[in-house]
Amino acid sequence: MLTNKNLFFLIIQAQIGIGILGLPYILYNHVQQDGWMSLLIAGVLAQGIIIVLVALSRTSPKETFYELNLRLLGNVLGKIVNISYVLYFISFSLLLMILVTDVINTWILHQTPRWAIILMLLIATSYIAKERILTISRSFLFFSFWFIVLIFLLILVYPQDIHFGRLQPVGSNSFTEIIKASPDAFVSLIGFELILFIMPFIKNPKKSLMVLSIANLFTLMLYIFLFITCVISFSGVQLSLIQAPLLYLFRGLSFEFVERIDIIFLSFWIVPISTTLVIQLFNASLGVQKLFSIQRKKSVYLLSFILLCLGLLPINLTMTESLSSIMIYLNIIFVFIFPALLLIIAKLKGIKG
Amino acid sequence: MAESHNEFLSSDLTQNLKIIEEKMKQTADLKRRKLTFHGEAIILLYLDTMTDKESIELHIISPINKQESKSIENALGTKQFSIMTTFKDISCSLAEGNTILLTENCNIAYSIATLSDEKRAINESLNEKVTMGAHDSFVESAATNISLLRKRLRTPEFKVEYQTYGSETNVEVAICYLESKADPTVLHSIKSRLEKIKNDDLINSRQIQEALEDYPYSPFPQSLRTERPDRAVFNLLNGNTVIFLEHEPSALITPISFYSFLRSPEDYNSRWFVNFFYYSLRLLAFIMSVTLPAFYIAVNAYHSAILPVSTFYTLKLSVLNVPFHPLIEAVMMQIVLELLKEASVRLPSAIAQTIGTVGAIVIGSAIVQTNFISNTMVVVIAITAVSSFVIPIGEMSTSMRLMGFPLIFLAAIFGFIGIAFGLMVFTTHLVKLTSAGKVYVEAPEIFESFLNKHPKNGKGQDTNAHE
Repeated sequence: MLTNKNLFFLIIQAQIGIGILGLPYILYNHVQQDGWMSLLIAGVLAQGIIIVLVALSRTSPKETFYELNLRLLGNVLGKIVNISYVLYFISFSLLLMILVTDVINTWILHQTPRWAIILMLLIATSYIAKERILTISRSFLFFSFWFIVLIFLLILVYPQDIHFGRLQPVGSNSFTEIIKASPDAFVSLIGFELILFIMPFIKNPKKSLMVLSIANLFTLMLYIFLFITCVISFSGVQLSLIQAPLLYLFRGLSFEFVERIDIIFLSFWIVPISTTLVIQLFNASLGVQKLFSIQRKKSVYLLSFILLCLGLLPINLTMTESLSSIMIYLNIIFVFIFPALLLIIAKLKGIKG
Repeated sequence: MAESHNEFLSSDLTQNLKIIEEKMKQTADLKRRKLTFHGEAIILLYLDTMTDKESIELHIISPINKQESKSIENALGTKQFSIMTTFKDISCSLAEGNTILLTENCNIAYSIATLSDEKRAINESLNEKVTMGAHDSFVESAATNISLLRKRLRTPEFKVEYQTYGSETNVEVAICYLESKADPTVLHSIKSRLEKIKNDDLINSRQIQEALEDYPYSPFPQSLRTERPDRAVFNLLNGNTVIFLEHEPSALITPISFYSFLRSPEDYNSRWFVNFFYYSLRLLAFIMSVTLPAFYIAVNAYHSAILPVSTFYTLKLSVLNVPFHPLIEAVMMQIVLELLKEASVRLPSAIAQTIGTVGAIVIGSAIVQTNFISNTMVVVIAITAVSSFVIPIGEMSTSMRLMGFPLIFLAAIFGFIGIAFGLMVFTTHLVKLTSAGKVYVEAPEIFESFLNKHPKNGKGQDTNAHE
């Protein structure tokens, strides 16, 4: 059974991933130095969704989301919803894989074919995802070492050439624009929907809301810290041009033995990125397990195989971009709107019953 | 059905003797002595090769010859004996080194314990040396080993259970634990696992280890084999179980945590900062022995950009004339190193020193001069080997060094990313492992202390011990 500590590390590992690399760039291009406000708004939104999700999963803490769907919506409609959730997780994983391979191809391994990276990524993640959720969370705790490394490296940036003045003027953008930018920030906070699927495994469901909120707060604080560090280190022109500001930030650091911290950091940042994929695979495999009544281990292998085949398709930049812009809306539908509807249905049924 | 007729001893002495000799397959070392006791013929049967003749002379033959006591039971009064009625029991008992005493016109036999206990004296531990602390080590006798533990643990809580396994070898297995400390469910699972040992030929502790381990195919040992009584006692006090196999000079400790393999009994015998330093050193050695060659290959083959210019030139100069890919270099050097190590273990100690010279001078420097392997690679592999030798338990040390190989290949294919993925899988594998149902790798305690002030989540019995 998952303790609070396990839950915390599961959630932060599910949230923090590849988004961290480009987040400051995207936000800066929308609302310049006010990006941290968008982040805050996205965080508050995420907090609201967390409350909804926890309330939904608390209506029957012994069931996963898929079982809840089947019970509340009936067999046919429930199955359709379950299938669409599995498809959502598959497309999320696919997008993630494409983004990872793109980053690796640009920064580290320029010649390695996409399929090779995807194959290795899937072997490693399916090895983890096939384990019990407790094992997954305990290994995530060890992987969280990289967050400490990240924070440490970010602090090392501060003695360099920084200007706090770049944060001013505060609130130069209109409020609507700041809100408009928040969906972009929200994408990087996704991951807490995991709670819908692991509620039956939690030892202390009453504390789950608090743990999730703390995890969300941690992620949000990390992102804001990162954004501010980027804004004060780069000039406005620089930041609007470089797509991976975090890596350029580390590129400026050099030590006696090592230069190019960015390469080492990115190589090992693959671990927190993969954990997001592990969680997506885990969520999807629960659904496949429910739909086809096969072992979860086998459903993980099946999903990995499907993802490998999808990854082999020739995907160009425009397709990736359209996929990621679709995903922004799909995220909100699948993570927020639908669970909220389901919560209303559950409450109505509860009143009737 | 002639067999069942002959199952029990008859009153016919010659008939009995004949059947016993047949049961023992007329082995040449089965000796018999004929005596008379108050006019009755007495036959002593024993295996010449296993029994202690002095004890037979002193405790059996001389009291009988003196004819002082009325009955045989009284004559044997000073010696431990049991009464047997079937041929099967008698032949088994003979095979265990007991002496069988048969009398005329009597359908029972006496089996007297006369096993000669020739054993090695308690020596200094060869494989787990310490500079501070006790120097005794286990020997090939389970009874002596248990006595070594008992001398340190003078408490009635210390409990020993004997079981015999292996239908051919009939080896005694002793399970020792502290009744007050050991977790009953863990104990139960250990016992039920031992029950499942089906091997006819149980001779190695590895066979017991295989039966006890939850993941026998994992490269990491999930039960600790030690030669040191102080380590065994320390683990007993922590609620673990110690298992002895007769004729094995080591104890198997289970359940065990991964961190115990990085601990030497010396640690608990020294000041806290010395202890802390050496423990950290071993953790570092663990990390280095697994990742260092892979890291070097990744830097050399893919990521030379991470090096500052001066270091970069030093590295490139050393690999300039080497015709091989760093992967091949590393694999060659690792194999040479394993060969040297294996050779020095097999050879008698006088010649083994020669291997050191051959290894260091002939192979080490000549291989560099011939440009087969670069200087830096020799240094890297040597540091890796030395780091793995730091690990106090040999079994773990070898596992660690071999775990480096998959990482070397991954690093050669994918560079740092390969290492990251490899380490991810290793971590998950280690985290997945359980030892006798207990978690093998716990999260570091630092997290415990600042996230969960009151660890009352029932992770075991002793979670409240430090509150």
